[in-house]
Amino acid sequence: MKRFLSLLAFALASLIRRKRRSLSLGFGLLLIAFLLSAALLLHDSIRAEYERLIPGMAELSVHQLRGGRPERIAGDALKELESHPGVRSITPRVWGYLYLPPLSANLTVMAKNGDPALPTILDGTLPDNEGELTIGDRIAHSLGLRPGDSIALPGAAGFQLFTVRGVFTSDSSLLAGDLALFTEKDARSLLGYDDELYTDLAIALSAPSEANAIAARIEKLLPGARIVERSAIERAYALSFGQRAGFLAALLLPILGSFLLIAWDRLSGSSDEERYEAGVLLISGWEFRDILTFRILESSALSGIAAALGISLAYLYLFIFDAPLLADLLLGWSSLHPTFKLTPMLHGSQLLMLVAILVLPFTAISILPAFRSANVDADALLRGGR
Amino acid sequence: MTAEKPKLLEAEGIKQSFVDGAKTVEILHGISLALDRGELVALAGPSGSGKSTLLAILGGLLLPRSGTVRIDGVDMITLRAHHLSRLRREKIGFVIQGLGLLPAMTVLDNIALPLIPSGGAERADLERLNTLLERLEISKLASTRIDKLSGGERQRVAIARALVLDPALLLLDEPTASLDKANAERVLALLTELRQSTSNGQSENRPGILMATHDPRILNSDAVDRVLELREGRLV
Ligand SMILES: Nc1ncnc2c1ncn2[C@@H]1O[C@H](COP(=O)(O)OP(=O)(O)OP(=O)(O)O)[C@@H](O)[C@H]1O
Ligand SMILES: [Mg+2]
Repeated sequence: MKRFLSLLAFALASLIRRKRRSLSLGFGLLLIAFLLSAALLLHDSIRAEYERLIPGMAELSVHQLRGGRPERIAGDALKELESHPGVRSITPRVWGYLYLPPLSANLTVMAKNGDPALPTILDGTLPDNEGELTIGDRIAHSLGLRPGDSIALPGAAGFQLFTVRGVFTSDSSLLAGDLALFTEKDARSLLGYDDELYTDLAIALSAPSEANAIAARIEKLLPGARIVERSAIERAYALSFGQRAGFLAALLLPILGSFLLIAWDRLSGSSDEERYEAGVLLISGWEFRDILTFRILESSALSGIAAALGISLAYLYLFIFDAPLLADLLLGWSSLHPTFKLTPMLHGSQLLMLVAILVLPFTAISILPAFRSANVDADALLRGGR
Repeated sequence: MTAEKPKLLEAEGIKQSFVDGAKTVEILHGISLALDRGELVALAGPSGSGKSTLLAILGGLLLPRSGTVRIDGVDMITLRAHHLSRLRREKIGFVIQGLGLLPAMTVLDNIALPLIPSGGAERADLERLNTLLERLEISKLASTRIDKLSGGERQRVAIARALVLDPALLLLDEPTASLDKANAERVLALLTELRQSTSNGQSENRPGILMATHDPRILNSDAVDRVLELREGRLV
């Protein structure tokens, strides 16, 4: 530990000593870190939006926000908008998630309502009475349920028993495979809604081109509301990372970038300096593993600091400053709905992965020369001198 | 086996050659030598005769084409890399011809380099370092950067660094080459003093000193026990 700390201190001092190099390499790494984390964070939060949309077949959905978090909304919050010619209907909805321990998965609980876009029923009917539910075929399959079967669900006030009334197809990309429809009363009691508020308002438009105008109206009527436009999210989702390819490209970026940075670094003569330095350390009684550790610490400290800054900047950029430029480019939101905000999200696993793909390739690539040089150093030093 | 204590340094049949384009140039044709603790031996020879090459081999920095080098009876040539670097750290202090200092660092930081892998300079170490600096008369320069120093001052910094870990064997390559008379004498006096006592004053741990030089001020000095002369790849 003492050895490690003292080598770390030496590595940091060495980074400071070679200020110009550290700054330019660090800047390059920071840029990579920023781009990559912005892309990944955006990807994840768009996906989260997308998933949040799923129960909603609605073209526009309106949430109430409080302190940046979605809250429930009054059913008549947008009564004035009902007469707007662009609006076909406004449906207050009750939905939420229920965790099912045996599946370790969520069930999306939703009250059946007058929403026009009803799923295609495969078998049976929609729930008519309390104690009934109709579920998507995927979850029906994984639970082995058919119409007529019973299931106990862990609701807000304990287990409740339900009978399966029907199964609908969940093939449509707009429907979660884990959706279950209930009567409103059952949905409320499962989710623990003990008041008259709704999860959100689903707005059906008379024409998709009305989205802008309606959003602007909602903005005026309900400042602080969060308006989600289905087509925008879908577009963004498809555009940004619909496919694996985009994701892979994002992973390759830091590796490629590190390669370029290191190639540049070698070309700009720092390998001579490093060989000399390694030779000096060697004759100063350093063992090979000391030199290697020092080099690894130097590279990983540099890329670690750059990664931390890059990730923080990306977070600020996306979630505090609402991604200027990028959002316009990719989503066209900010001009549409000034209050649309991505929900800040950054999980431990995300962070770990980001740090790993930022720090590991650079460190790995940059210690290769250290391996190679350790033997030659002394010889070069003996005759090269200084 | 245990009857006789092995010599500090024993080299036998050292051969070395370098590939220069198409032909192979023989530099050392089978060198054998021995050095004991407390000895101060000079290695003389014209420029290009292979003095630095021989020192590098003796110091474990360069592998000879053939031959053996033993330090306290341990054969260095056949040691695995990490054992060799451990042995070098524990037994050998090396001052190379080009000195090998880090110019952007201070005198004290350069001298403390050998301490870093074992955890850096602690208070006791600092005292030792200060004693060394005083002995080499560079105390005032402790926090001066190397690139601000004169040649003689740099030479002494390099020697101080080689002494930090209390080596049994001190190898010096041209320690007085660029020095004026006063500085050369100062270095020689220091080396003379060194082989008589170590910094901790135990006489059985006195270092053996081998220095490559063609400086007549050293070669003719009484302080030197023996002069080995390297000529055309052989000791004469
Ligand atoms: N790695 C190498 N490759 C090729 N030739 C080398 C190599 N190392 C040393 N030589 C050659 O070996 C010869 C001896 O070099 P060395 O540096 O040992 O001489 P020296 O006696 O120390 O000379 P000086 O007094 O000038 O320091 C020289 O001709 C040198 O060019
Ligand atoms: Mg030489």
